[in-house]
Amino acid sequence: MIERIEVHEGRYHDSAFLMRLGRQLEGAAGVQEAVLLMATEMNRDLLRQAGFPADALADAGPMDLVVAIRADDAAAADGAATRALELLTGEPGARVAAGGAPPPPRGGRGPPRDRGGRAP
Amino acid sequence: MGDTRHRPVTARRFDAALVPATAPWRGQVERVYPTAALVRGRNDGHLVTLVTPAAGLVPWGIEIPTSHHPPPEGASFVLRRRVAHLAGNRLLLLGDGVELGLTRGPGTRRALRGHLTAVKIPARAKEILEGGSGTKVADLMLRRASNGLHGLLRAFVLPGGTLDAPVRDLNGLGPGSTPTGDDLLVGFAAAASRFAHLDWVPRTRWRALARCLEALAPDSTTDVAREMIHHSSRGAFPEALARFAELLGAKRARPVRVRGAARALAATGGTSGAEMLAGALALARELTTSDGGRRR
Repeated sequence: MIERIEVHEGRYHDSAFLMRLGRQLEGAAGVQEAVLLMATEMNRDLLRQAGFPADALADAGPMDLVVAIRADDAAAADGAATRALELLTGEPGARVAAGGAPPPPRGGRGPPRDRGGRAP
Repeated sequence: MGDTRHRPVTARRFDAALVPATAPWRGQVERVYPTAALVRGRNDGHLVTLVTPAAGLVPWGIEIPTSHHPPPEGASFVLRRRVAHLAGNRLLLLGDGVELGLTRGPGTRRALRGHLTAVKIPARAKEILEGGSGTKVADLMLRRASNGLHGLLRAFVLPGGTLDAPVRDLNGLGPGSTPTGDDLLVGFAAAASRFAHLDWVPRTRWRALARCLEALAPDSTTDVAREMIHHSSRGAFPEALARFAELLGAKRARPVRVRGAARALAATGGTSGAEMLAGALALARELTTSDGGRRR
């Protein structure tokens, strides 16, 4: 199992959209859990409690959107992260980190920061 | 929202609290969404929200016709004496505006019981009132939200109960630009304001809650939620919430009207309306079965 955290700076979406997106991501093979939250102190604590890597959220603040993915392996986590970016930006083929910086998200302040994963 | 170069745009629906502004309030369009734009005040850091009719009016909000395109991010905004200058164009605020505080009227607990029976509780509110049972983040969040809301309720009806901790436990919790916990706080505050007016809870408890809300750390939640909490602490609420809360227990409010107001509230935002409804209902339910700390 691997946990992946990504932070999208300055991105806002309503809760219904974020929960729907999480459910879509969880529909992919190998993705156990996907959740999207603003990086408030309470939500960072919630993610820590759920076993996501706390250090990945050290620099995130309440105006940043966190995409937290728990998957069977790195490939499934990568796939979910890429899909999350596509759904957030509405741009198919958007790539996370290694695939080159994607265009700034609409209403956002820049590309996501991949905060890495943790294999227990 | 914006191409008004040749003629002024008129707004008839806006927060009445904006009318007395005679000194210029200056800001800049900070963020633009499909149904709203946020203007950040240059000196006070607060937000004026420009909304389309689809978004619902909020404190310090101005509803602008959908036919007008959104202003660009970075555009200047100055409001003075019912005239807003937005990106060099004029926006006229006509009429008295919409009162986003609760109107005051008499109430009875019998009426409140009838109202609560009539309200159809949306699934999201039910999830929060009952709490989650799984192990995923969303389930943990629901459990915390549910426990937090019940903790707040217990502290609120206990004379002298400390509210800081339960308020902090909800602040910034959950998904969305206004996190679930903040929506619960604002919904709870609206009900507290209503019932304090009816003297069903001591007014000192409402004032204590308002002080706790105002004292929350500025970086504890999103800027939109922080603004909503700030306004709720002075008794101003999103329009759909204000119209629902002021009906609770009102003698002349027929249950069907309360049901309609609850439905309108639940339809507000992504899940925010349903969450505010859950916050308000938690206190309302308590007052049908207890004295709300009145006679202890």
